[in-house]
Amino acid sequence: MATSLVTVFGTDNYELHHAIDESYTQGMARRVPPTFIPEGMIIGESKIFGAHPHAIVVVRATDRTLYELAEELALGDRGGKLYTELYESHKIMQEDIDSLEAWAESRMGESPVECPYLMTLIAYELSKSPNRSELIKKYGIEFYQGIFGYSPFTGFRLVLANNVTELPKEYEHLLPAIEAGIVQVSYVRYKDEEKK
Amino acid sequence: MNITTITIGRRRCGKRRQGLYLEGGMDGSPEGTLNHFVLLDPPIYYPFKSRVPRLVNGDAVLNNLPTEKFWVGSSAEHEVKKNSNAWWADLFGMPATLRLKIGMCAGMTDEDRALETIASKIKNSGYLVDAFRKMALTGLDSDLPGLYSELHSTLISLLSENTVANLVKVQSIIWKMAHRTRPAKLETYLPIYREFLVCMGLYEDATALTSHFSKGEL
Repeated sequence: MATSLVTVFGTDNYELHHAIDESYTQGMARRVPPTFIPEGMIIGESKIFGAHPHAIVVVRATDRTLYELAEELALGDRGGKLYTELYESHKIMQEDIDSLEAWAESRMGESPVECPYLMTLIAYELSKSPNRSELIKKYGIEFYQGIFGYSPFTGFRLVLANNVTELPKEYEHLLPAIEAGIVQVSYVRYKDEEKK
Repeated sequence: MNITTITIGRRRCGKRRQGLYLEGGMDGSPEGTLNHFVLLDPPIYYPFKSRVPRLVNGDAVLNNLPTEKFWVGSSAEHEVKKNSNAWWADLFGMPATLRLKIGMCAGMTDEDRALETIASKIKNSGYLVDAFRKMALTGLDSDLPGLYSELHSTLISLLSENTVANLVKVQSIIWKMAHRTRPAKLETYLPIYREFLVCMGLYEDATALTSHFSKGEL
């Protein structure tokens, strides 16, 4: 069994849709203490899971359901993924709708909580909706933290400041791992800087 | 040492600083077998607020097993330690680290030894009920209702079952009460808490309780 890792995205920098969009385009990277080389991390097999405090949406308003919220979000973004799932792909079945309806009534009583299909997309659309605050109020929404996806582990990288040419003292203990190719050592440049 | 230069997109959390990074999905793979990212829908409930990365068994996560089955390696050890810290804190009425610094356990290095010491010295002098009567007159039942009723039921158990375990529980509740008492009320309640400890033969703890709370150190 390969060891995997969960990293939590902070809401200071990331709304859920930021976290998902960025993970799609760049994968995930997490800065860790210099001594953090866990045993059992295997490239390609281990996973870096991303969790976000707003990945699970619970509708508390007694006269509304999660499915209604899904519809409202989908219609607000025609052509979006949620719209496609609900109205175009025909993948969503009556039992999925029932499941979404039932979820609103389950009130997160059970643990572990099994969310219904489409929950991630609903939370994603809600996070980027321009009417987010109104919808939260209207549906009495509460958020719960959930793992929204993963990137396959691709390795450890020691990033050096651009003016550093020798391995800094605090990272000397990594030398065997560097020589064995477990840790890559790199300078970083940014695509937008390159264009300039 | 081979130093490469990588060109990456800017992330919302800012530029990369010098340091060690764990990377996932970087550049995918040439054969296209590794994605940058795989969306999980529905998501998996993860109620842990800590921002520290936690080591998990990926299969347990993906199969949505109970969260206690997630942890591996140092994260599993951390969970065990966390549970054990909570257990000791409940037993002592304060964090174990503090217990090993004050009163009769001052200077000890392990919790087992501290518990042995308390258990060997603790006794029921028969005056605990009197101390409780005094407490009942102070209005503490409305200030700390949960702990007050816990103390009450423990004392009732003690009357029928005069065991060391029950006495240890009483001293733990007294310490918890002292921690939770508002500073303005300490002057009233501290002498009663001290009396409880004295009644149980925990004289050094009684002194420690007074001196620490009076100084406002705890």
